[in-house]
Amino acid sequence: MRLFKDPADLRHSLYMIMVVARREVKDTMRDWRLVFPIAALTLLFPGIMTFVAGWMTQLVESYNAELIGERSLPVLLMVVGFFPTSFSLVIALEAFVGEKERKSLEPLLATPLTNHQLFIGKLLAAVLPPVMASYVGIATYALGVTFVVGPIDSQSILLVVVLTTIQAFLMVSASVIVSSQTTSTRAANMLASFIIVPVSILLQGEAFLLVFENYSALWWMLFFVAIITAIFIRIGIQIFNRENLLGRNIDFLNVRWVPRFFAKRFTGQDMAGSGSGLLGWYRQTFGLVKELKMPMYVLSLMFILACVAGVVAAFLFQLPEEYLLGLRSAQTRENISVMQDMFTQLPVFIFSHNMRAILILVLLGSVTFGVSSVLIYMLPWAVIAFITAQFAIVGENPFVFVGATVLPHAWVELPILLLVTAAALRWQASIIAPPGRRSLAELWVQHAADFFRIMVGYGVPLFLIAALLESFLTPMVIGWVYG
Amino acid sequence: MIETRDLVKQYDDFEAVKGITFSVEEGELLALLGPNGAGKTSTIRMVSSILAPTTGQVLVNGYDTVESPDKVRRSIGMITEQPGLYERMTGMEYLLFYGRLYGMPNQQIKERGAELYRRFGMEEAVDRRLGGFSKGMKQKAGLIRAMLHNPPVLLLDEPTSAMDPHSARQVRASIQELRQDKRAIILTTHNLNEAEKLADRIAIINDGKIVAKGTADELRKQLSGDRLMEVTADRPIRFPLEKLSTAFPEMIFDMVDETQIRFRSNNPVEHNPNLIRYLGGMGVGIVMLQEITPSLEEIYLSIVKQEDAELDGQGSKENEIV
Repeated sequence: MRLFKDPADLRHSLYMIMVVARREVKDTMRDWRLVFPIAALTLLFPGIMTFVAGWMTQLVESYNAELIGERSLPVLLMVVGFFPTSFSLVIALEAFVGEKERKSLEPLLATPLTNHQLFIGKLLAAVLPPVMASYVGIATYALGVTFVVGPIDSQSILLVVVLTTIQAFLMVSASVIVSSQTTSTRAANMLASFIIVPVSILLQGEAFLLVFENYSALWWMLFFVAIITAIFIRIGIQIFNRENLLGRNIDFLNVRWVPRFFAKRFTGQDMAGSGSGLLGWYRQTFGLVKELKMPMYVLSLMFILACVAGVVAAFLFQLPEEYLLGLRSAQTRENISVMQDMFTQLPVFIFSHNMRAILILVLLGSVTFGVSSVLIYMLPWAVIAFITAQFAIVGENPFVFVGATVLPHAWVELPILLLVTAAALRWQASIIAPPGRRSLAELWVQHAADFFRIMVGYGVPLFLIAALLESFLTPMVIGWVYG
Repeated sequence: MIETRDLVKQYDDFEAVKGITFSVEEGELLALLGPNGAGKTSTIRMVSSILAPTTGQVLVNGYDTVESPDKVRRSIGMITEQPGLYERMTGMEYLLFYGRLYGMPNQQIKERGAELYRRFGMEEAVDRRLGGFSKGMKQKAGLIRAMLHNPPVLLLDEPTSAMDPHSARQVRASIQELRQDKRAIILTTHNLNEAEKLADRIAIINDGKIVAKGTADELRKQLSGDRLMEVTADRPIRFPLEKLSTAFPEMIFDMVDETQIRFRSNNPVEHNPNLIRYLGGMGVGIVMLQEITPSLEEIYLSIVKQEDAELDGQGSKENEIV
């Protein structure tokens, strides 16, 4: 989904976003129930914290533990910065559902505002007042502490400012998603614990790293939190849908619908027919391959990158001499002959190994939006490229090695792995992919069913054939080439 | 100006709108009349491009609601049952917010806003907080917001439903006022009088389908069946009604009281003189013979009841088959 078509569209979108955000901020600033606590946390609380910092520093000094006092200052700074941003959660949680309850959402949805303009406008409006208040609080505390105890190091201040900002965006993006997907403020508040608990854990981790002055770890942590925040914002824009806001009861968990929809898609009942029976089902499944073009392009590129990375790694990290000697052609024949007795069990072993790899790819990929799937897919090819390059280093012909040990079975294994991983990747990334006209749940279940169709229809039989080839044909070719 | 073709809206397993087709011309007000849950709001939301039709098509001001939602939204003004105002804003701030969303310059918004507040008799409310408005004023503020960008199409979704009679009257007067402009207006309502007073045409919608449409008079003619007549006699009628039924088998008789009889006739020009002669022959003098015009409410209720009975019948048949 392209958010903006051209610079003029971008300017127009920014204008619309600012119109929405400005109204919301104005509205927030007129609500004394929000303004008073924010003001108190901005001015009063940093003052109290400055006093606490001064008192604590004196206390720990009396026990000759100056270091504890010194390291507590940035932690208190973080607390001062975090408290006002916690209000962003309150504002964001009712961003959509509050308007829905007050019946002001429908007229807004009937205006030319696009979904992403409305979503980003609301997001900014929920973030800006608390973050601004947080900056004032941080400045007040940092200034106060400078006079009372001494200056806080600039990196700590920078870290806390960045951390506060990113965390506010993290909480708000998650809350706006909750707000746009619930039908009452009560339901949104109930779901808020899913945001508060992980953020609390995150804060404890950050406090720990601040105390131990491990700034590089903190920067990395912030980097990953920023990525998660970006993913949340992307998900929010992707699943935000005018229709869902007003059209149906999305709090209702319709568990029975899932297997029904899955079965329909898996059996092909809801797809354009290509004849009935097993042949028709296979034709339909083959038709799905066209839909996987984009993930297959990506994975093909990743395959090349994996091979390049393997070769580069081989030149950077050469194997020790005794291992390199084992890679000579004469040794290869011997290695194969040692394995002769195991050949009858190899097909089952190779097949079950591949199935386990696919299972791990599916499970890890599901919680990483497909990133782990890509990495797992790249791993064997990087290893093969690494070993092939080591062969080249000892003077053996790498193409003969690949042709003899990999190609006899890889001509089946590589395409099917590419296809299965592409189907898994599309399924796992569907939560952050362009929405189309289906709901997120429908898209997710549909892609899951497509993955299982491809896995059952093509994956299982072809992995079995690849395992048989690897067990019986590949050793024969190796024997012929190196024998 | 507005055209819907075979519009269907399905929510999971529930079909809210089942193939609705209608059109509204420039300067015309169409009332979608129906009970709660009939599919009126879903239809309005599809016309306003908030909901996408499951199948079918809506054209507003020449634009398809799915292909050009932005152009459709620029062409419409919409108000709902609850005006949904931002109550901490003043009347003018509210219009400035909405006007900017339609790309209007501030000066134009202020001038147009002041003109509209004046037109609806609320010029003193421009700088007042919306939270302090009465219900009628709030809905009128909603109407002003809907009119601000001068849209050729107005969608009024049950604008008086949640109102006391006084406020509802104020809003109806405002809608009457809007009719002077050449706009296409759809008004959804379950208030028959409102539909009859305001609309050029009425479409009765029940269970997601349009079951009748036309002007109020056309609906009466189409749907009341044989014409209903009432005879008032100069003395109590002592003979049994069966005698009349035997003499006029094509007519249906009903005793109102001892001097009044009602009957349905498909050809009053022929039947009425014959009946008068027959009653005269029985020694009954006729004081009055008049046609009883059924109210729109009677027609509406009879249609809705008939539809519900048919649906129940279908349901029980389906159950029998199962």
